[in-house]
Amino acid sequence: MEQHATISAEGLTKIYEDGVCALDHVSFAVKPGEIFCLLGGNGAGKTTAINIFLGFIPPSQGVAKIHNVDIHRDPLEAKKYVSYLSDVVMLYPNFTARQNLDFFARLGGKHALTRDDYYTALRRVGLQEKAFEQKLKGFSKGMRQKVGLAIAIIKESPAIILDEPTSGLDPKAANEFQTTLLGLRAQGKAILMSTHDIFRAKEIADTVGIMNEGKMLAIKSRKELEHEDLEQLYLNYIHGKVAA
Amino acid sequence: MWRIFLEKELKDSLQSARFVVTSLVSIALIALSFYLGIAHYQARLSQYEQSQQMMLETASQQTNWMAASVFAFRKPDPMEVFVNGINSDIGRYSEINQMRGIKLVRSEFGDDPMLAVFQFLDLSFVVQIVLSLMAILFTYNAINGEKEGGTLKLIFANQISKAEFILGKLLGNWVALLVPFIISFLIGAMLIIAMGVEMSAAHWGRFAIFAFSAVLYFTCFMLIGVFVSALTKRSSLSFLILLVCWIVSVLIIPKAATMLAGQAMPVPSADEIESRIASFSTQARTEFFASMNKLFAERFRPVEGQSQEQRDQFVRENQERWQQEEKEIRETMDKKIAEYSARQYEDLYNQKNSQELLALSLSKFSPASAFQLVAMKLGGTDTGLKRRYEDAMKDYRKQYTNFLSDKGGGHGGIRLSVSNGRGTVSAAEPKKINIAEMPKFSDPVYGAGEAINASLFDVGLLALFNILAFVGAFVAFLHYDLR
Ligand SMILES: Nc1ncnc2c1ncn2[C@@H]1O[C@H](COP(=O)(O)OP(=O)(O)OP(=O)(O)O)[C@@H](O)[C@H]1O
Ligand SMILES: [Mg+2]
Repeated sequence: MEQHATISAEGLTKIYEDGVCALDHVSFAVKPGEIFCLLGGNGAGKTTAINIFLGFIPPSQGVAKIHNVDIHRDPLEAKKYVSYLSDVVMLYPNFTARQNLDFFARLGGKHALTRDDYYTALRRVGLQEKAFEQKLKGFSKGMRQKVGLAIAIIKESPAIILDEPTSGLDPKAANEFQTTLLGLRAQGKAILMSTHDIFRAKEIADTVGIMNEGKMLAIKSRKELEHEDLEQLYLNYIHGKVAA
Repeated sequence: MWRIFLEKELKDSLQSARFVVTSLVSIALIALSFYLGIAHYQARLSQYEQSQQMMLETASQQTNWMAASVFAFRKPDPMEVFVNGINSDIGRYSEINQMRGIKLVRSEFGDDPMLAVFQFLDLSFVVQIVLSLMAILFTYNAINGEKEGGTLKLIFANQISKAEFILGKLLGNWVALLVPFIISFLIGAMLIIAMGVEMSAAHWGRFAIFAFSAVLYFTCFMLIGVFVSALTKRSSLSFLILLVCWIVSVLIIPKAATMLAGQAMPVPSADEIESRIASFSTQARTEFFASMNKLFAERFRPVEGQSQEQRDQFVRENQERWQQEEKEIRETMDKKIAEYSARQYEDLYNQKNSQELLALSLSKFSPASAFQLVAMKLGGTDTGLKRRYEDAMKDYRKQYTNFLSDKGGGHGGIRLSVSNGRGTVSAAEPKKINIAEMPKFSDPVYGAGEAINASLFDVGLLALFNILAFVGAFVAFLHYDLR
């Protein structure tokens, strides 16, 4: 039996008030245990798509579903099943890592967590122990990103959406990040992430969706990519040398 | 859900060094102004008691009631601790004299110009500055700060409605601001008790309403802060806008209102009025003498060319009628002058009233002026203070004048002295007057009921500002772009 997609877009279109067409009939689906990478350059429409999935903006056309709930129709119900890590993660500088985690965990409906639960989550994303009870003020971008990921994890939702989670991280931090994601995939989460990092995408993604100027040019599975040079493919696509 | 936000805002504030330091500074400033207010009141009180004592002592040395100079002193009220109002602008006492009217003289600002230059920084003023600044400082980035930090999107990736968030946010910020406010006012109340200010239950009641309107006041600025924060994307912009709002409503409107009203409706000065009256009476008198001259000429026309005897006879026959006639003309003139001067003063009073009204209505556009009005009306140090005292002193002057005429027109005993070249020998040792017989001046009563009634309108105005700002903040956030 075909497995149900946890995250799905059908003919998603977004035309901004100023007439910019940021998304043009984009469709894709992410199944449980799958990492789907939206790959595209600046202005390709990745963030726009993600914003639609979180109900921050309405689509002009098409449907975005999470756990089979139309996010635009019933945003509060759909948001039960998704956790999110945004591209800007400053979090609350006056809170410690644990306090940040605690606040967002309770917003996510986790009211009965203990200090140990928080520590477990923070350990899982690879934050050093001594930072657990330190204020975020002094944290590096990588450390904040880890706390952000812990926030996404602790909600234990079936869908996880990440907007450029590895941009600005050093190779070691990005690698740790990747390891955590693979663990989540193994747990059966459906993960949608955007990136402009071709190598990262090739390494981690089960499926890569190549986007340019609001269009989904191609969706390639890991198997299909095994024998191809993704970089060449990407450049070809965006230069229109290959028909989609 | 709102409880999570409430807790978060509180924790965030209490863990922020900026908040803690600012709170401590505010608490210290407010407590200090309580202390200064109390010290000022107590100094005034002992000065009041001393002056009164001195007046009585000097008067009791007199042997003639007419020679005694009697003064009525304005008694300091404990509400001055909170709001000084026009207290230092108006005189501390007036002489009570048969001949002269009531005139309050020797104001504090007149005696001590330095005080006027630096203004008396009373509690109501410090509250106006400090609490509103604090409210703005901690809400200018309430919404757009969360956006800049990326937390707004993280929050709304959960099952949270915008209404829940904004309500929790407002409540959390409000409670956080309430903490330093309550601490500073508790310290103030303890200072009042510890320093032995005699406050009646009615005074405490008025103080409680003062505190309540201070809460309304800073809540208003907090709501405006969140409102502006929900209208802008960047916190640097909202900070700038709020700073301008603050300067306009706290520093400019209250002053500009008075100035604008003065320009829109110039009111003649007291000197101007007096010179007008003087020239009017000169003219009236000239007319009076002219008509008298004419009258005399006409009166003697029938006996022109007759003998002295006949003329004397004529005068004797008509004297009474003439005197009556002259009296009537003189009275008409006096009445005319009195009416003119009364009208001048009434016009001045009316003009001043409408000027004040215009100033007040202009200042209604600022929560700061509304709060200041509430405070002054509660404290009884509003513009009515002078009128109340003048009225009470006028009553007392009547009482005192009656008392003097009861004492035989003020003649206590005639002192005869004969100089023999070597010194003065008194013929009879004169009796000193008994000062205890003199009627006592009682201060005008400004009760809690009256105070509350007077301030109710402006409390309502503050509440209205709050409602408008709340609706503004709420609606602005419902339309806020979360991205
Ligand atoms: N609020 C907006 N109003 C108008 N146009 C917008 C708005 N937000 C984004 N756009 C436009 O939509 C297009 C897609 O933007 P989007 O942010 O989705 O790209 P992206 O793939 O996330 O790019 P990046 O890699 O730079 O994050 C761009 O052309 C952008 O200028
Ligand atoms: Mg983007």
